[in-house]
Amino acid sequence: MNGTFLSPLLADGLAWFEAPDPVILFALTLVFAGLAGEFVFRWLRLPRITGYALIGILMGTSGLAEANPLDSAAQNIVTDIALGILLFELGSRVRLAWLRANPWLFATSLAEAGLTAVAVQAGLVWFGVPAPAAVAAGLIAMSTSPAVVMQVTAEIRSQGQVTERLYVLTALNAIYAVLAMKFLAGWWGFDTFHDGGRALLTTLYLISGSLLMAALLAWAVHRLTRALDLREEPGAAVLFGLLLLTFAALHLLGLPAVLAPLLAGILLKNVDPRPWLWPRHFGTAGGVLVLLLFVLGGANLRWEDFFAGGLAGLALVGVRVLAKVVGVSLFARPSGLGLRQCLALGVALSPFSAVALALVLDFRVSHPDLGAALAPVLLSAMAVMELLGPIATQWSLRLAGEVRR
Amino acid sequence: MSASDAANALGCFAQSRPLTLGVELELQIVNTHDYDLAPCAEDLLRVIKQQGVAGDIKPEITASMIEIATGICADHSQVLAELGTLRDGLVAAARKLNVGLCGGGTHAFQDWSERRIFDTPRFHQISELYGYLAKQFTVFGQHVHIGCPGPDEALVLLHGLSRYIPHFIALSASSPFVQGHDTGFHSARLNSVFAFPLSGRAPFVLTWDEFSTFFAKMADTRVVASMKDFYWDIRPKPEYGTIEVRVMDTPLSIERAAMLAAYIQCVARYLMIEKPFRPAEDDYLVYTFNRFQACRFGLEGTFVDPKSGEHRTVRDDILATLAALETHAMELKAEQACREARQVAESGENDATWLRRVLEHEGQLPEMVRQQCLRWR
Repeated sequence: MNGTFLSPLLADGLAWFEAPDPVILFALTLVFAGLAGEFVFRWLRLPRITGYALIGILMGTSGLAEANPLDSAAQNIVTDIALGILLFELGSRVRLAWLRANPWLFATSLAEAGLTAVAVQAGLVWFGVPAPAAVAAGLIAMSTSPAVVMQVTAEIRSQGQVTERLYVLTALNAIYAVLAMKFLAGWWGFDTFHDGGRALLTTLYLISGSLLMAALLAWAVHRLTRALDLREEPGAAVLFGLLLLTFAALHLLGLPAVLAPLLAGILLKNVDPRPWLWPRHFGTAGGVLVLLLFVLGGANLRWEDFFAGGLAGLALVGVRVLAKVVGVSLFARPSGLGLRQCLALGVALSPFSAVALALVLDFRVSHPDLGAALAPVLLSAMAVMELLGPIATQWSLRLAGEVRR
Repeated sequence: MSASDAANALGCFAQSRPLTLGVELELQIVNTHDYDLAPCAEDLLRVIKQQGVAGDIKPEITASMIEIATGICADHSQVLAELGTLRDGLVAAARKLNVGLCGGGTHAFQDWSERRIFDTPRFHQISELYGYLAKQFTVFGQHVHIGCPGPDEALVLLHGLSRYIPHFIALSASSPFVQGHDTGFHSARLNSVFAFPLSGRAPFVLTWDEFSTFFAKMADTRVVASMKDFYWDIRPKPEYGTIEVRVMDTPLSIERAAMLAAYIQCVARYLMIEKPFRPAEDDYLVYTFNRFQACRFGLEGTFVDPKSGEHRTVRDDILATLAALETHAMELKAEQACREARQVAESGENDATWLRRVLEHEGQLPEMVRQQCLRWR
């Protein structure tokens, strides 16, 4: 009796799980990601993105992510705009006059990035990763995740020296990582045949091409602000459109997605010293895109990824943080930073994802063999940091006493 | 508390050279992104210590304020030189930390609830007692100390200078904006000071004995424990042997700050030497009215002469006073400062007017604060 009554429903339910309705799934994703973000933020005092990423990872692991109604084109649109917004915001926090006034800060940046590259490379070689792959991994490991840094600092509205330096160092190490990897890819060519000339040309092309695109974007935004208020919806819509156009052009020109929006922000801040005022992530719409960025980031992960790299992956995480802490401490005194602040800054620099992931994927395409050797290690480090990175940044900003909420 | 305890808390009135000067300025620390207040006093103090900047630089109650103070100065040019050294050292340190420094009696759009109390026991104690008033007290003033020959002379000078309070307010006013809005005042900062229970004016007593009696009575009520608990417009500072004029907003430049100090010094000399009038309790009948007029309307405010009851503008009273100060300005080498004061009075352009003009031109408060920073260095 019971069986006959329930079984059709049960069967329907099971069928739904096998082939879930994509729209309902997407709706539930938004609901649960939002709730999870708020839950971890309010009750566990963790960054909201940790909640978003957890929902993403659950979806990915359960296989539900396959039914995502966002096809890859739509996904790219979402992640491009979200990442573009965050990079652009980050760039607009970099005042070049500061680097001129405090050259020790620039030295700190070089030390932090350089030490990370060397330490990670040495560590991986010790773990038996082939030297060329280890070099590439070291360069990729220089980069801090701009997305995590921007999201976490905005969420807790942190303010102070550590936060300010976190912005500058994150922007710079993203630039170093992209340029160094492209140089390396050009140098090694497809057959690991060393070609310095080609490497130099590739890098020059990247720099000038990205600068040009950045200048165009910055110019367009500058013009835009005369006509529209970026704090209102129409302004934000036009800005999102401009970002997408930029990404389309970058794709056509074979230029990395990271540099141009970042440089555009830097150009805007430094060419016109007037304060640039826009709400964080350009309002609520941008905020939702950022949420999706982290859900999708999580959905690309599987639990297996956490262990893919084995001990080497975990070691990479540890060595990288250590190198960053030591790197920022080297010139702390002349650059005007206290010891506790150094610890905070070094740990705050540990998030590791978006920029690095793009570089890993690129490298795997251009150098399949080496890529295969380093991808598992880097991916598992990234998987671990996807969850720990935001927490580390939040914790260190608290340690530095810069949190306002 | 017994009478002798109270006397100890008040202390003896120290020796100081008459008419010497000391200037304290409270400054704003802002970020260079949206020009809101930045909690970086501790970082600034650390860098300053490393660089060995000479002079007195101290934290203030919230972490976005810093105070500079000159030593004991003889005249306008010495004040200007000392403030210049302090400013240059501080600006260099600020540059290193990517923060801006500026004058102005209030920050135009800071949110008081976001202020952090600088980490010392006294500041936490004050914060606990006054609650939001302490954070809302994120206002920035200039204090000028004038050396007095003795305690009784100090009190006579204090009550004499009270007549000129509207001058000092109107010439220094630089706080038209509070919490993101134009208050209509030239100096809105003083409205935050009013909120404190022990603000206002000193009691009308002209001898140190009477003052000690007053202080002992107050101390007995356990409402106050030291002179620091009085937030009067002018108060005696027995440790220094000075009286301290506290009604000025921090001006937008050290030049203006030095000018104000020299102007006060000249008025003090005029009062001490010429004794143009005898201070009386009844002078205070128009005190709060005059003070309000200067805060609200600046140089255009109405000034009621406490002796004659005549009405004129603050500007006209300043110009008349400047005419009477000429010989004193010469003696004190303050001619330059008095010329500047005259120019401000004649043009009617104080710092508050300047700020309003910048805002009108630029349309946004953060840009106005950025230009405040440019003006400071």
